[in-house]
Amino acid sequence: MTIVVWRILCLASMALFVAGLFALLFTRLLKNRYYRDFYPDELMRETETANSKNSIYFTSGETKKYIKKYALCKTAYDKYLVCNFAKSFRSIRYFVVEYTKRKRVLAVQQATEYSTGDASKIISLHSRCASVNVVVGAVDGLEINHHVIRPLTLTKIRLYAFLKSFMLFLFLFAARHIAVELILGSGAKYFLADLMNYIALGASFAFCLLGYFVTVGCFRRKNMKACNGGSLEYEFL
Amino acid sequence: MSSYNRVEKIKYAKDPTDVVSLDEYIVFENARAEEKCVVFKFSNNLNQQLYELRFEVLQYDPEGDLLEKSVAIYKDFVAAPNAPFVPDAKLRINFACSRIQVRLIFAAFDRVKWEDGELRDNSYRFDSYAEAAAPESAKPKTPAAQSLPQKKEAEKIPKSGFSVRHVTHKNHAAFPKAFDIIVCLLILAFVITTAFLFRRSSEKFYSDGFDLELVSDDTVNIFGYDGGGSSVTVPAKIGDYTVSKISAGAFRKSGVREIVFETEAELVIESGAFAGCRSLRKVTASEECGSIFLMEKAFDGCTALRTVELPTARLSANSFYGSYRVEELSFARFVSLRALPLKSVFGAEEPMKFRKVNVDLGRVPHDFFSGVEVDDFSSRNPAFEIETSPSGNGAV
Repeated sequence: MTIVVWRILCLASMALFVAGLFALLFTRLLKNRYYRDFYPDELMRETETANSKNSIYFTSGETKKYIKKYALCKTAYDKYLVCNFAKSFRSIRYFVVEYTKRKRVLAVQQATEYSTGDASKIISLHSRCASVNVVVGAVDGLEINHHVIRPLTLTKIRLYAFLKSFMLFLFLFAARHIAVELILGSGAKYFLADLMNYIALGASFAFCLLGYFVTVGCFRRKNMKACNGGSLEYEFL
Repeated sequence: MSSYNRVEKIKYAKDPTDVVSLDEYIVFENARAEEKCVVFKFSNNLNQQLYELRFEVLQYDPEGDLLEKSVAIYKDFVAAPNAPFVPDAKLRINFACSRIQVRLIFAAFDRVKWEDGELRDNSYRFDSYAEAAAPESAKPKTPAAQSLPQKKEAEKIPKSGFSVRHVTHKNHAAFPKAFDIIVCLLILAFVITTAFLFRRSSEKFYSDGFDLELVSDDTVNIFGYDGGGSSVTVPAKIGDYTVSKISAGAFRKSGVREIVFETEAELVIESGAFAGCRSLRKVTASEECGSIFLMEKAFDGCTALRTVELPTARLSANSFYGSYRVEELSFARFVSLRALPLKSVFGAEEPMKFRKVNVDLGRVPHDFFSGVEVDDFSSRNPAFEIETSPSGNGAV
């Protein structure tokens, strides 16, 4: 291959690398997905004082059996949440999913309480939190929802790993070419035809291939059901 | 044993039914230190090797009262079958003890175990079996049998009875990132190192559009050309280096239309150096040039070539193979000592026609002009002559 062909390949790989970067950025393959979308809970009462605004909501779905209501207290500086339990429990675990005004998930908190009374302890919320959903996790040893965040699907993991590894290869290809041209100048074309250049290319390819499997392996380990949870849909009835 | 001031050997009442019996024991007594110890001599009465022995020793005072009761264990030894043996360790006993009584508790043989008067198979036994274990699992668990996760869960219970933690996580794996960074560094380090080494060790370089390879301290080969332009001049020197050879494929399939050789020293044009140059029309060199040696198929398939003016050139057979449109040809002689027919330089089977041919040959073979038609032939050599054919006729 002539130096012109190498340069064209280098430019093509740089262009593809940038395109891949945008693809990774916009597809958001690793974005968290949730078992439930935002559900607007029924507002029971809203009271406004000089310093704060308190809203009481009824919970919904499965959670309703265990947590009847929750109160959202918004002051000028802080936001709090207090739940009202259906009865006192030996132990209860529940998730508080905080949403922004645009109903995008802001944070997920997992609260665990033992020997509860009728009301939970105060849970402080993010300052940007506009609304919440309360999802029961486990009650008195009975597992209801293990988690609210879905594990990543294998397809997404593989796609992400492929894109990432391919981009790594493209980056290495371009970086290698640029380095060679900078170091060797007009003699670069002799190096590009040399065995060492092909060894570097082969090693890049091999490492990227290995990187694909490493990425898939690591994400699968991280997303194993036992580690990350699962939800009712994972129960085999 | 030298510090003992009294040594007493006592025969023991032997029970022949015992698998291991005590034959006798020796009491060593140190009155000053008020120490007393016993060494036993046993007999292995089974025809199997003995590996372990456990026995009870009862110590009595002179009045016959029990002073102490102890259990001695001898392990990790081998006693031969049906033979007496003495264990390595001695047993320390109460100084007031005047009589001892020994009772065998356990003995492990090669294939059997003796315990509580019973011999049992010594083969491997499982601690529990599946059928025995299954019902146990149905039983309510004792606190000790609680599973580990439950224990851990119990340990996790905070004292306050309340805990909140953020479980939002970003899907990132640290190891693949680190792996990618390491790979990048490794590959780039390899490339940079090899590039620097290549620059130091390589004999190839580029100058004036020519790819050059160092042959000696002052001579180079041309092995490539990418200078562009329709006319190329091969100079006598490129930089400080004399051009000595044009390697195979140096101008292969290039779009050059004219080549001028200005070499002063000898120049070798290797086979295929100008192969496939279909735009090449003219190849020239001055008479002051050094000798140019054209190897076989040096100008292979130069189909547009019309003029070859190389007055110092020495041709080989098929030097211009496939370049059949040559009209003007000027050369010195042939690489081989004997002159070849003119047609063989082109490897043509069809008759060829030249407008002008100029050579520096002396004697040429009778078939020098066979298959060619020349309008204007001249020789710079005054001794030019054509050999007569074997049949005696001239070939012109």
